[in-house]
Amino acid sequence: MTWDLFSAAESAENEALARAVAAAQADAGFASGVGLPAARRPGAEWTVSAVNAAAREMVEGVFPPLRVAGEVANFTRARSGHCYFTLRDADAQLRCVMWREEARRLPTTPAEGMQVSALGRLTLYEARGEFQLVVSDLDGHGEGLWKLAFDRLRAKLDAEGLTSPERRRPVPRAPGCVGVVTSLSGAALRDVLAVVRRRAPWTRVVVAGCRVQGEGAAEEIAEAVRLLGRSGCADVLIVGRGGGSVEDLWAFNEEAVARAIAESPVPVISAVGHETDVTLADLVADLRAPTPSAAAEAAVPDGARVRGELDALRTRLEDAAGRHVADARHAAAALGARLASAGGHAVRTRRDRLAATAGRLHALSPLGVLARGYAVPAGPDGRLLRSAKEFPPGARFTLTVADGSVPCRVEDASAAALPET
Amino acid sequence: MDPEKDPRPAAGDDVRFEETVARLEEIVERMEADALDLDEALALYEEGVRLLRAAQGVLDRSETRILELRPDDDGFRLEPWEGE
Repeated sequence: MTWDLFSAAESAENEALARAVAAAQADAGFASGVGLPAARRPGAEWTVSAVNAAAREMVEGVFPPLRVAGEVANFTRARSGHCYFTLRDADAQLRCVMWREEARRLPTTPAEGMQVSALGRLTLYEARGEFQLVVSDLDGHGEGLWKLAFDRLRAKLDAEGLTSPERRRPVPRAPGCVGVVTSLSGAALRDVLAVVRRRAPWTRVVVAGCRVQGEGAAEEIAEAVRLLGRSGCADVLIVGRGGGSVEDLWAFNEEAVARAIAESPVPVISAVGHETDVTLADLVADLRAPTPSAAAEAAVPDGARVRGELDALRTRLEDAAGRHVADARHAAAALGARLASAGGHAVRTRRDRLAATAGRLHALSPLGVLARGYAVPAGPDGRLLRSAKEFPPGARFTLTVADGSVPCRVEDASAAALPET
Repeated sequence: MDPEKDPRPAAGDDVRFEETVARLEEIVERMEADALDLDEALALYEEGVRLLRAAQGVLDRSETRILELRPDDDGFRLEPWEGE
């Protein structure tokens, strides 16, 4: 239909219609309301500028925004940020320009020969008399530019070994502090906090807020990851956001984010809300979780389980200690029995050893020995005092009883030796 | 260190929970495996009891503390987060 209208305008016989169409298609930045130049006196000479200006007005006024399919050739990004390329098919080519503002949104530059779809408006570059398409949006056919950008960066990270599974570090079982990088106002943070409170409320959470989509989000995410790393306060990081479209999640496919995660001094759990598509953040993270809630479940242990483990350790500790005491008693009893049948020179040393063993038995205070009224003497150097000979008059020592220790001094030298046998 | 800048859940002193439990496991395993000198067994037992108490103290904290980390001139600062 557009072409029919354009043909009508081209004939210059129905200028009013062309003007009406152009007005209806008015679009920001483009000439509007003018289909054809004002009628000129027949035979008058035109300047080149007037021809180009008139042609531009007509082209801009008549064509609606177009979506043009073609193959990309000679894509170049100028220092100014503007991009120039050609769209072509088997028989023709069309000059295209994409201004900096729009070009910045491209995830990557299209590959030479890539089939793309360009949305734009036709104009004429008056200085050169060149007909061109001003492109506002460009995407590849099939898997598109996002996929291309992903593949290119992935290949680079793969080559550096950053996506290697061997790089993945285990996440701590019970972190004291979890760092979270996400939007302060998003559902992702609320989900993480809910899980931490439910499972491991003793855990501290440090949030580093950032935008998670849109221009500049990738840099903010990367900076938040680095900030948490530098602060040294977190034992594990959760980096993510809730679900969204490929474009919404795109920041997590950008190089800045991937590198910040790869360089994190503490393990990182990625939590970009998506089920199917993997992001580059997922590939470089130490652990990938499908959602922020799942990431929090992976980051903190279940409180009931931790309590159970502690209880089990307490039981094992007490059992082991009890066994050491029993062994020592048994050894002391055996020594006592041998002592009873021994005599002569060996008796004295063995008696000393028995006394020392008895002293050590008493020393197992936490098991209740002290609570039963025994006390353990220790010299100023902390060594247990095992013999009466170790208590000369005036000697200072410490007596450990059930609920503390008492500084002591030997008053009298007439310490009685244990009765022989 | 400014306590506000150290959000780790200190277990009584500056021991961290996971390290506390790891040391406790090590102690229990040594006590279970080895024929220890009684002095040594006593020392390990006392340390174990202390670690258990510390770990229990951490678990008994029921209020999750949430802090916000912000960049500033000194590098960063931590503030209580009141975003909810």
